[in-house]
Amino acid sequence: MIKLLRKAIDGLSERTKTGPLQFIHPVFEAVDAALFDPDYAAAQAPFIRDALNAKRYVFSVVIAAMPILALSTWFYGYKVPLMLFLAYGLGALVEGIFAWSRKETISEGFLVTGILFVLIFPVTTPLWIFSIAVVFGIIFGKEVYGGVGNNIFNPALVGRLFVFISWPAAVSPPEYLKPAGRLLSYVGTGVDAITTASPLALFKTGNIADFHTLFVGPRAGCIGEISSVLIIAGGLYLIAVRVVNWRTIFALFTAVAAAHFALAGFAGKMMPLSLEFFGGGLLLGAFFMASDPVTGPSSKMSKYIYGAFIGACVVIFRRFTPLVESVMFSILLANAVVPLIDAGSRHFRKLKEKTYV
Amino acid sequence: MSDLIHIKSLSGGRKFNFALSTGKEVENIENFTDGLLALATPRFEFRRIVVAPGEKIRSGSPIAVSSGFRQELQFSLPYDIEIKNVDYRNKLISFKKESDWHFFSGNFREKFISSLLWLEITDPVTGRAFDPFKMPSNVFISLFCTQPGGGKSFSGDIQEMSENAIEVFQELGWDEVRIHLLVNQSQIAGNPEFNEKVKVVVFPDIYPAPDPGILFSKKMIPYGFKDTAISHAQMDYVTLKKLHQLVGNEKFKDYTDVEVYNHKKVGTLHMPKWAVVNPFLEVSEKDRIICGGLLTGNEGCGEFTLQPHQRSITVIQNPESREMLQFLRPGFDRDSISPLVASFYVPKSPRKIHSGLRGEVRMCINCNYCSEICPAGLDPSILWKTSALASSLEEAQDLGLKRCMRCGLCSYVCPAKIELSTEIMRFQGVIRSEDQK
Repeated sequence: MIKLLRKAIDGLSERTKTGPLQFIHPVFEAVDAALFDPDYAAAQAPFIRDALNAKRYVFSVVIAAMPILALSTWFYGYKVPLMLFLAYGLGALVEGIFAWSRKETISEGFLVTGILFVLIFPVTTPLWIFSIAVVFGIIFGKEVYGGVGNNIFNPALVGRLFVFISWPAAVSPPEYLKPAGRLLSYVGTGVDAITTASPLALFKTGNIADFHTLFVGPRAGCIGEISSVLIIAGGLYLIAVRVVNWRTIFALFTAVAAAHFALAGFAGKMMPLSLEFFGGGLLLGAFFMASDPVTGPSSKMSKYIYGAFIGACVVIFRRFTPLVESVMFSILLANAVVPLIDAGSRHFRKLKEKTYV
Repeated sequence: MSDLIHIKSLSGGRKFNFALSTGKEVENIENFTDGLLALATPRFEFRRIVVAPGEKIRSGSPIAVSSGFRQELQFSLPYDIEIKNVDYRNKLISFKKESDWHFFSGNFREKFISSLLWLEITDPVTGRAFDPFKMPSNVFISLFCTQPGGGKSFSGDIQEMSENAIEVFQELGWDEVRIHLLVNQSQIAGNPEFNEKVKVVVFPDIYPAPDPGILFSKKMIPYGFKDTAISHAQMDYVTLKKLHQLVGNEKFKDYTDVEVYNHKKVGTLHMPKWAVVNPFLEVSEKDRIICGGLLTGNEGCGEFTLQPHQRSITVIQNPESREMLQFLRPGFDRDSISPLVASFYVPKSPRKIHSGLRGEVRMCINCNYCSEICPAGLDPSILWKTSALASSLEEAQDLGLKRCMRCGLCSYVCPAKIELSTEIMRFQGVIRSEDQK
């Protein structure tokens, strides 16, 4: 079976190398690269290489997000997998076009970006707005910088920011769809569905959601925010397999708590700390976006600074701006500051070295 | 030329196939005054001859520099010479010998000639070639090998070994040198008593790990030297086999015991020095012969000659079949330091050893695996980005480009399969050649 597939891909790939069908050759190359590991050999020492590769590394994020998506599908219906399918399809298409123009193979980065897009949109977002976000995010968040590994901003957040500014009501509505078991129904943008405000919006009107809803769920919000427990579980998995660095997360949460208590002294009415953590997109943003290694800093010290920067921004923005949710802005702002943090910590390290040698 | 004296014993077979001609029959290599040096080799192209006619070159200073397969090679002679003529195209240098041998005295000279040790010594702190005129203040002798395919660990009497070491360095004239024995937990189990000149450093077995000397440096080097006694140390690093060569152990004179890994003849191979390895091993054309550890070794091309300092051979293959959906499989048979691969949890499961990259080459994803494993405390991905992508070598030097120890671990762990260590070595070579100008 595998041999037959191998033969088929090889044959088709060989036949489309030249001739009139040359333009679909990259498609076979991409399928080949996606399904089979390469047969390149190490030309120089070290002659053995670690089994970890970029595909496996990236796919671990998908594994961590799967339980969240499964639960969302149960509560929001089959629109969730449809959105995932759309995000992957459009992602692969855009990625493929750029890879073709750059004459490279398609890289696996859109596996993560695609799933993140689904996590950070409410299910009521019309599919055409969602598609615009995906295409914009991948082109202007990633491809214009030169593809995976070169991007400065998180592509999913760039896409979300674009549609957030263009169609705020569709992306960050005042009332979210109330989660209920509707596995087999399609959720449109209909007004007749039962809606409820997100916990943070509820707080602005003076109500506080109970802790069980906040922590275990299901709670209203974006698709990925359905259950804090599952996000924490996914995040801990990513930390355990060393895809996500714990330093960023630790600094972020510490900074949120610290900023919360520091502001409570003079800023008057603050939301309770549990709402700060579990009410909005903080957990999702921390474990799945802020910890993204590509857009994050590189040294240990700058990871602490970067995490603390995001955490402090989240609390300050929530308290002093009319925005209900602020995690997206904080992370994008921090992404922009990363080169500065990295350069600063490198300079500090140099100073430290000079004292010894 | 029939009257060429092939300095085979001097240079080590195929690897450094220098030829020296005097234009007349010379019985003893020490007696000649005019020489002709041919620098053409089958495997190492000497890219640059760094001398010009009329120059007076001190012994030990480089005459020609090449970028080798793994390392930068410098060729130098052990006596002062005056360059008479240089034929850059045919890589021929004629010179006049102006002094007697500068390196070392007595019968030790022959041993140095036979193993050409002075070409291989590098100072692990500065990364530069070891200056043969300076006495090192610290010498590290490694008694165990953690590198896969790097040879067996020393199982003999450590105490006797340390006495031998003191003797050797006294013979060298290095009386004040401090000797550090690098051993692992099991070797030191008997708690032997040592001469006070010997300092014993105990290491845990770590895999994958390069030479224990590099492991040792991790303690000192990240932010420079914290131990003031070792600051500005001249360090040398001697492996056990080299030490036996220095002592002149009979066992290593004409025959060499070589460990063979990953081959049907796994075990110890007792074979003559300078012999061609291929018929001993019955390797096919698909096989690759790696000498000296899989992480830092050299690959032998074609008919491969064994050199006395090489103590292990590993036969590996190129990957043959392409596995489907490899990234979804648990991976018991692959070697990894990542918890994403099942063999991380089952360290003793049988492994497939081949030379496959096991992944596509990608842009750096900033995962920091390289900086976590770097024994010198560097950040290889940043070094690579500043030197190769941003091509600012000065900044790379500030970040410690020269401190790279060439252990190759960054290339080993990189999930994006970037040839980090090779790139860093390349730029180290550029810096070194700029320094020499």
